[in-house]
Amino acid sequence: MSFLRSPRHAIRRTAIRVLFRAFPREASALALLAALTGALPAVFAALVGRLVGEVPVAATAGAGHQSAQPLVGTLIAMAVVLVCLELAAGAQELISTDLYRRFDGYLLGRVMATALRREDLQLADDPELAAMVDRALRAARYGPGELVSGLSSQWTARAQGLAAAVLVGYYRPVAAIALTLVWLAVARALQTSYYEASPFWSDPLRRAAYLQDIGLRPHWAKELRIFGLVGWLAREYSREWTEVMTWLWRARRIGRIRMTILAALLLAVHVIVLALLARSAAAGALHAAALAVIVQGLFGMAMIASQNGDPWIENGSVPVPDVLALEQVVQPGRSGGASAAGLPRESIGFCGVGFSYPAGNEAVLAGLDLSIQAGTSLAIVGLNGAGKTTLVKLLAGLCEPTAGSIMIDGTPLTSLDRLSWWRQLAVVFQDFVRYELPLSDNIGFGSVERAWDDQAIRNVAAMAGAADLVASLPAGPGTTLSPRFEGGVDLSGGQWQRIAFARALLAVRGGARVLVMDEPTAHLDVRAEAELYERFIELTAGLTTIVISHRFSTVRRADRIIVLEHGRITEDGSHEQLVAAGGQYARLFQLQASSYHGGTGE
Amino acid sequence: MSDTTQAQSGAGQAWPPAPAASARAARRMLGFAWAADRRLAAAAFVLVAVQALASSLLGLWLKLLVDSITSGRAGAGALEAGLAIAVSIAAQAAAESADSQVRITLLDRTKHLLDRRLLELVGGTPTLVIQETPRHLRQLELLQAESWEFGAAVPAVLNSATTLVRILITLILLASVSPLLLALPVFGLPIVILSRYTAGLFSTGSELAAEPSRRAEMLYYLAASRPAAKELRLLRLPVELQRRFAAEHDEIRRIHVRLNARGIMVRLAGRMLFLIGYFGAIVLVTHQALAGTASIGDVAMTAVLAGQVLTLVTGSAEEAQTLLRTLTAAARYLYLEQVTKPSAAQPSGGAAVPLRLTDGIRLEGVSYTYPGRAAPTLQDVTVRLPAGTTVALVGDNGAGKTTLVKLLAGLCTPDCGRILVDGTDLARLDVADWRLRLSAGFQDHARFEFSLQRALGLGHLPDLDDADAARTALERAGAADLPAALPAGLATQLGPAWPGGTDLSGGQWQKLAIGRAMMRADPLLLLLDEPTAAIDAQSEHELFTRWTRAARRLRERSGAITVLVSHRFSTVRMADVILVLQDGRICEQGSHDELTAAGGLYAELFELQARAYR
Repeated sequence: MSFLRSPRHAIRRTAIRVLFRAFPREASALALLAALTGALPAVFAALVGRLVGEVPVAATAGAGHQSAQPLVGTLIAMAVVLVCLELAAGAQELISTDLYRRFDGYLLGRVMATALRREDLQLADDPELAAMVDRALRAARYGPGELVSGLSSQWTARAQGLAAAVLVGYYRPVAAIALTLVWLAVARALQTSYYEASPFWSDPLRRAAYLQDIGLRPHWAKELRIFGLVGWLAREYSREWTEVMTWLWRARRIGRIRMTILAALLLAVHVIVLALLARSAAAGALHAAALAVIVQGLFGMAMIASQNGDPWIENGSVPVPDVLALEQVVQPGRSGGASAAGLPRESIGFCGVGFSYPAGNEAVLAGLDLSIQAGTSLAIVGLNGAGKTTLVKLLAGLCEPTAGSIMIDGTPLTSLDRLSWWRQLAVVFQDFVRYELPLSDNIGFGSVERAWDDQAIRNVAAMAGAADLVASLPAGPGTTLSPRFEGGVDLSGGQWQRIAFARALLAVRGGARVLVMDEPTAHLDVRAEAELYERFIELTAGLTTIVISHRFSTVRRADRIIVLEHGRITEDGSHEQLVAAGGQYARLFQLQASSYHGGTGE
Repeated sequence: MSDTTQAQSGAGQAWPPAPAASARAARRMLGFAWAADRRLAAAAFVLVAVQALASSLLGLWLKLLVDSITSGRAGAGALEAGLAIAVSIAAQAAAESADSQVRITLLDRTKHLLDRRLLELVGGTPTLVIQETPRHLRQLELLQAESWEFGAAVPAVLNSATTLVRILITLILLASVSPLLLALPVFGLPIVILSRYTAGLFSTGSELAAEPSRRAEMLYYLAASRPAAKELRLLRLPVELQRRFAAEHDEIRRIHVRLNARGIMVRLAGRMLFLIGYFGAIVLVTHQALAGTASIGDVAMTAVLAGQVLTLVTGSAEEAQTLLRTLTAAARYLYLEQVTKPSAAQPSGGAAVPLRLTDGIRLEGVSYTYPGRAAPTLQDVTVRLPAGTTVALVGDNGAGKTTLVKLLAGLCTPDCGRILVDGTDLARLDVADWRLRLSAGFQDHARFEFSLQRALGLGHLPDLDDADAARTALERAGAADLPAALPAGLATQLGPAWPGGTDLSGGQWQKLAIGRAMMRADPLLLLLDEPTAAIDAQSEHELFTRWTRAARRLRERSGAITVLVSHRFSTVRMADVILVLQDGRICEQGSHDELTAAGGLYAELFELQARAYR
């Protein structure tokens, strides 16, 4: 498994570089404080050595004031060091918390910015890019800020270990160097075995995690229970998990031998060092004070190998390369420069338009010729998969046709400025977004460039048939439309549909001239649908309207209807014309009509 | 208990109390570790003891070493003390490395066990009590967000145990120098008392930050959502979404930093008190040494222990935080366990599910109010669903149709009234057995990202990998052509996030969900809750014709009932019985002809829709 041998150090270095580049002041302050909290214990140890040296002197001199003076000074210095250590540790923690949160928001913000950078749908439609986005998104699950907590405690430990080495080295430089090397080897071994032992960030466990996740998803709870799937999920989860882990457990055993050897080496070096120290002390060549300092240094040097904070560093840095890789790949799309303000005045034209998805083998649209006169309404009918939704995406410039071109008043869509063209469009997608935000945002997002007051929001809501809904909301338009938030409410599918419609109507008020509705009544109940169409003409007056629907109640009101089949237009005309023509449209209409007006409906 | 007072503030009198770290949570976590792997759990504790001993005794060895040199006996015992130091240092390093291995494996196993238990706990609750009670659902969401902490509960407990042992040994050593030094714990008392306050601050922080965190997370996933991609761009929202995300994160940071600063101040005050005690100890021992009642080695030991306790205190503060965090996560688990107990402990079983229905299903005075809502969604519903019929539910959005479906499936239990299946109370039937004779398709269906075969097969686990059964079900669902539309037929991996995975269109997912509902060949009750909203007219018509045919077949065999929720009256009219719901009550019932003749709400709604087809 390759994930065990990935170059983790490079990953960490990258992550730390990103951290320092984004927050140079905060990160440096944290490093300095960590060094301080790491060094102070060594200062304290040196003071203990001084105390050990001074006590016998003062004791033999009797209670003489003069000889006790340096001893009092040492004691005061010790107190100062203890207090400083506490203060530094407190400051370090505070800065660490602050930077943790900053880095978290910063890195996730970068992922978000990248995911939104591409203006077309390349990120969503290209499976390879989509997978990269998914990888980068996982940053949120790890919590990038953990890098900061990890570094904070690791820097402190390293500083502590090195300061201790300095204490030893002051008296016995050779021993200090030898021991530092051994501890570094131990550190390496511990780190390696830790890596080998931690599968939490690895891909293979994703399947297992998915199985567990399914079992906890509130929205799927109904089916899980009805089909009795929990036992199966739990078993599958354990099976997938055990498969990966068995492999890992085997890999971990390798580390044990290495550690045993290192522990023996550690023992041997210490025995030699301490035996030599004891000998020179016995010979009177080493004072008790120096010995006390050295021994404390020996204890402290163990911190060189400390893995404190390592898991956090790992968690925090693992997603960073994925984030950077995505940024490298995702470049903003091209956009024309011509303003689309006021368009279309005459027509929207599809000229020989063809489209197929990069991965798909079949063309979704082929040789489509269609001219939509500005200010009229057009309905598109067709079976699922006939290319209706693709047509909308093409019109919005969210994908580019693989053949032919789209002309707005004779100007190619590609030469129009994207943002200004989008301002001309008001689209209700079939899978419209349910923003878990206040109602005012849900509707206001229809025309985000302007600030809309509550009255404007209420007005369009009323036009969309949601006046009662707004009136019933506890905090009016400020009410969050999600039960997950404080004071938020849950809406039904039909209520959401009205909100989506209101959003499009606001876009129209904001200046949009083309209204596109993809199955706008799928979630509406009978009465609401009927009400909506009563006012269809009124609502769409002056607009170029395109409606995609399965419902003939919706379709028949349009000025013109086209039937799409296999990416081509097969029928074109008004409701009456098409029914009279006796084609596919007429057949579908009869089918529906007979189920209402026929005898038994079969 | 002791931990309920502060954490519950603001939660009112709610039961159970809001989760907070407690000894019970710690015990349960250790119980999990023990259950996950006894050998490893025991080894972990032994290694903890070795490490604690090795590190605490270093002070003692130093004392012996210094004493042996300064006593004037010319280094007698110095070598032994030196060797003891060497052994202690090496033993500590070895134990630490062994410990990290043992601990990681133990953590893996414990986390797996916990995850599995959580899955079984949440998924295994027969009703939707967790999903439909906002308070409970919030705990589940928090627990999922803290899954790492939940898993880290065991190591955190072990760490705290190490610290405890080290403090104990340190105290014994100090007592050996002077019993007066045992007064030190008194100086530590403020830290212990204040830690309760700082813990409170921590949970307050996560509570305060929960809302902005959830909002930030929502924005984050919205920005990357594939279905939302087109709308977000068209509406020119990218800049706005990023601005809001940054603002939420700023808010989160401010909350944490503010509470953290307060916590640090309080803790600092506590520790300063402790330092006074410790400094006093050093002065005391130095004084004794000057008076000749303590050795110089004692001075060194006391000072070193002071240094060690300093790190112990510094470290234990962090450990305590981690411990509290993990135990709070663990307490959430206990909370969920508690709230699901009543529903899991329902007297289920007693009665056997009938092989075939003869009478049908009767609702008697059934009312239901969703947890946390004031108005009942269903009110005093009394109705009979005759065996062998197709029953359609119609009514405006929010009239209670879906709730009725959930009650029939046993996903909620009526607040009052009862549901009788051929005369036996549904509450007395074995839930699992009842579910085996139940099938359902929903508008908000699950999108299982397995192979197409499995996504279908999940509708009837015995036929999970049976291709014939899957094809038959698709046939019944009018979606026999679905496999052919996918690159690898039934073996196609669904979901673009998986290697080689394919995404389905909304209509295809829906057909798949209906296919899944058709996997059970012999259900007593088939529930179809608006499963065709995204399907075109022709497919819909085909589907309904098939259903009617299938329903007839089932009716003869087992007296099966099909309950259909739909807004399409062309379908509804095919039903034998139509129930019209309004504001949680049944206002009309009868056949299509009866209801249109009656000229009530049904007739009005039917006419509204039929008008389009004249």
